[in-house]
Amino acid sequence: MITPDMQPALQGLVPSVIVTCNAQGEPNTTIISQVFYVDETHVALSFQFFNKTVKNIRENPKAAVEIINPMDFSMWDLEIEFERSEREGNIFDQMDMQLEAIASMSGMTGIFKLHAADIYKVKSVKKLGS
Amino acid sequence: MIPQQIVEFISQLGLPMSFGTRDADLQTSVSHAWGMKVSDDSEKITFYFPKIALSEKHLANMQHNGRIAFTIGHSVSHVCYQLKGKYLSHSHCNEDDNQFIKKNFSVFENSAVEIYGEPVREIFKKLNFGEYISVTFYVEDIFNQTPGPGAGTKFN
Repeated sequence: MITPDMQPALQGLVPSVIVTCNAQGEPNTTIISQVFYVDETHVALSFQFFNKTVKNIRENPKAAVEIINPMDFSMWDLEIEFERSEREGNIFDQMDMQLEAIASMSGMTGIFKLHAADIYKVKSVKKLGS
Repeated sequence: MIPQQIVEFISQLGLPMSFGTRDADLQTSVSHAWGMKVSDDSEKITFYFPKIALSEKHLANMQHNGRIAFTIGHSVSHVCYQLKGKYLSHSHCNEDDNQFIKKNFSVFENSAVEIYGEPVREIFKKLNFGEYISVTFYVEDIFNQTPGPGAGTKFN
């Protein structure tokens, strides 16, 4: 489902956008610094603050995220569903390291702190215009 | 009514912006928008997005439940706001709209070049999203989304 041509869009060079929705049906849009490749059918998102996105996902696990390839600006829309949170392990460590690099590049050192790697199943992928 | 300081901020050309809608099963959809305007009474926002960007899904969602979440921010300062509200109308873009989108895109391109370097300009030259759709919504709530301790604070 996640193909090799999408990989550059998962490096954190261009911020992504996630839309969640609470149980009452109110959508919430947030810019996120990282959509992390886990495997062909899973991505991980960084849980940094206990914010509306996290609250919504606990109420309604469905979300959508848009990723952008910095090499040609192609965009993909992913429908995803929350599966679990990981607070340690390989994925968490890799995300933590990448998040530090992103924070450093964007002048946000000290603002980002990874609490958990939230793992989502990718339900569908649509390339913009396809 | 959108506070004047926020109107001034979001009315800058070239800011990255995105919006989200949801369907009857609470499945959300997300797309980038490429320009927005605040109404003269500061109560409504009209934004523009490509028809190829899930427009059928977004329009069906908006007509079903009316809910829209719209985020706009500054790439360098990271100042960011989310505006939530109710769908009012949509239409195909006219020539004035298209000129505005083109102007906005040009400022966005220049901002991206400042961040990512001159090669980005070649990428943007090749981009063509085709036809655009304009959507107008009534703004009900505004939230601070600048990363940090104040993120999520609602403006009264």
